[in-house]
Amino acid sequence: MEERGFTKEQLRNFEKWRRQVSKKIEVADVAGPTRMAPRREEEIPRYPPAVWPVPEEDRSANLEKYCRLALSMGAAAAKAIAATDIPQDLRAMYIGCLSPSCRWLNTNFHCPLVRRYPFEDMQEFVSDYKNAIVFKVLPPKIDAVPDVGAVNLDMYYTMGGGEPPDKAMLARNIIRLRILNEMERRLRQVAYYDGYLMAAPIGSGPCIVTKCASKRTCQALKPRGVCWSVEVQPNGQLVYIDYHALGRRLDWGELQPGGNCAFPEDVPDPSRYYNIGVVLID
Amino acid sequence: MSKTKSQAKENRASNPREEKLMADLEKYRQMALAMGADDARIVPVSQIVQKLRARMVDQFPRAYSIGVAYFAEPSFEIPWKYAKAILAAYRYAIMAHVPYPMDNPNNFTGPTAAGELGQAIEIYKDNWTDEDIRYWREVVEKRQGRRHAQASVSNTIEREARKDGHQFAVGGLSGMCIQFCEQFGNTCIALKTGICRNPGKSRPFGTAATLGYDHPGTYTNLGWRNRVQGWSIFPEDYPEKLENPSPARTATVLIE
Repeated sequence: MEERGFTKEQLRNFEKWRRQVSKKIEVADVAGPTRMAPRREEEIPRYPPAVWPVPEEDRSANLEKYCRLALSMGAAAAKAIAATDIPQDLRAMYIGCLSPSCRWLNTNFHCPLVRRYPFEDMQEFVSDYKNAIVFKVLPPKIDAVPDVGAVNLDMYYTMGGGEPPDKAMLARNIIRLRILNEMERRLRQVAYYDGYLMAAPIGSGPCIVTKCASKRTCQALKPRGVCWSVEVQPNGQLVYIDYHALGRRLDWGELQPGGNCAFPEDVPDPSRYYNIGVVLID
Repeated sequence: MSKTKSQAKENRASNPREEKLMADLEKYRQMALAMGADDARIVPVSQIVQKLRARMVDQFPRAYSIGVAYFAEPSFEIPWKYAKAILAAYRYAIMAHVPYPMDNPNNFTGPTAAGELGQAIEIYKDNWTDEDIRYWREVVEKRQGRRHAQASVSNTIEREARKDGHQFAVGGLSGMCIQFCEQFGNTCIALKTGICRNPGKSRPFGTAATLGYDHPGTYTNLGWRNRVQGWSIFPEDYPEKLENPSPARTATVLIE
């Protein structure tokens, strides 16, 4: 960190927030009803104003820092890879999301099927980046039923005549996805404020579950509707990321069918269940 | 001087239209400097880096502007191959590095930067509590977040270039076009009716979001540097005596 010219108080404040951002993300950190308005000024993490473009010689130290950050936030493994090593496959969306169709298909603005881009464009998008921080996250151990605010997602289970879902199971999965989302959000934030202005967190799981479980339907999908959150992004399948091949490539074991969107309760072997987070670094 | 360069010079000299273009470009460069830029250049468009990531990054994570107006994604999006063809059709741009006036630092970074939070409150207030709305209105009032001079640099040059006959001269719009629709409660009428209430003012947002103009890549090409700005860097997070570079915005006008 460039330290010249800052007062002791400024440096103390940056250090306080650096520690805060690096802390392990606990269930309590993401529990409760979704926050709709931005954090208040005193709750916004603060960073020193870095200079960009970032010199190339700082890249490897920065990538190592982001991997350490992912681990300190609770990731089971983290690795910096070349962006071109991210496997992309048309089947990730057109088979993975559709055959059989995902429960959350077309339910939210950030579902890959809602806004589709040509495969060649998404290959170009990923190759515009030099690196990616990829991390493995195990589902958190949750004993009691966590408070996630109101959950109004029954219709996605009952529309076809099915049984209403177990609320405790839904709450556990909302927490699981919120933790993954929060890790990606913080990693991108740290990279952005280091000067990697194009850092991009790739979405993890349906945002109707993580952000809008209380709303029942996505307000951005209504005519002239607008999404209210700035802490969401399209899922990796929009970019045609083949998370299964990525997990194999990194020796993290076979990823469950459905990837991050699948619930541990739905997969053949929950003991081998894990999620993958991806943040692209320019 | 190499043979090609001297030939190019001769061609320009023998072509009055080219000569006028060069004179106009120099005039626009001087205008940018006079309006507060600390560096302004005539840039061959080949030096402007165009990347799809510059457009897509608005979605990763989602920007406040998405979906709020006709000229924002997803209602308006130039197909990527057209965006490439459009930029490739230009030869020269004026690029100006416009530092923030530090005598009133409250409007260049932090949540109220560029005045967009004021708009965001109006757009998103149905989802916020009364307390949150009151709180953020007070912050906007206190910090006086408003638009930066860089927008007027590009607007003025664009206007002048059009008058000079460069009919496709274009500078991006700084911020969301619903800044012109305050009287409609920052609601985009074009999204409802298909007809914009502010034709002549509204336009697609920014050269980055529409054409994929990549700031980090272009800055590297030009040897420019800048300071990160954003919600998590408040004006009071800057050192009192700032060493170079100072925080700035970039005005880019494609001329011809």
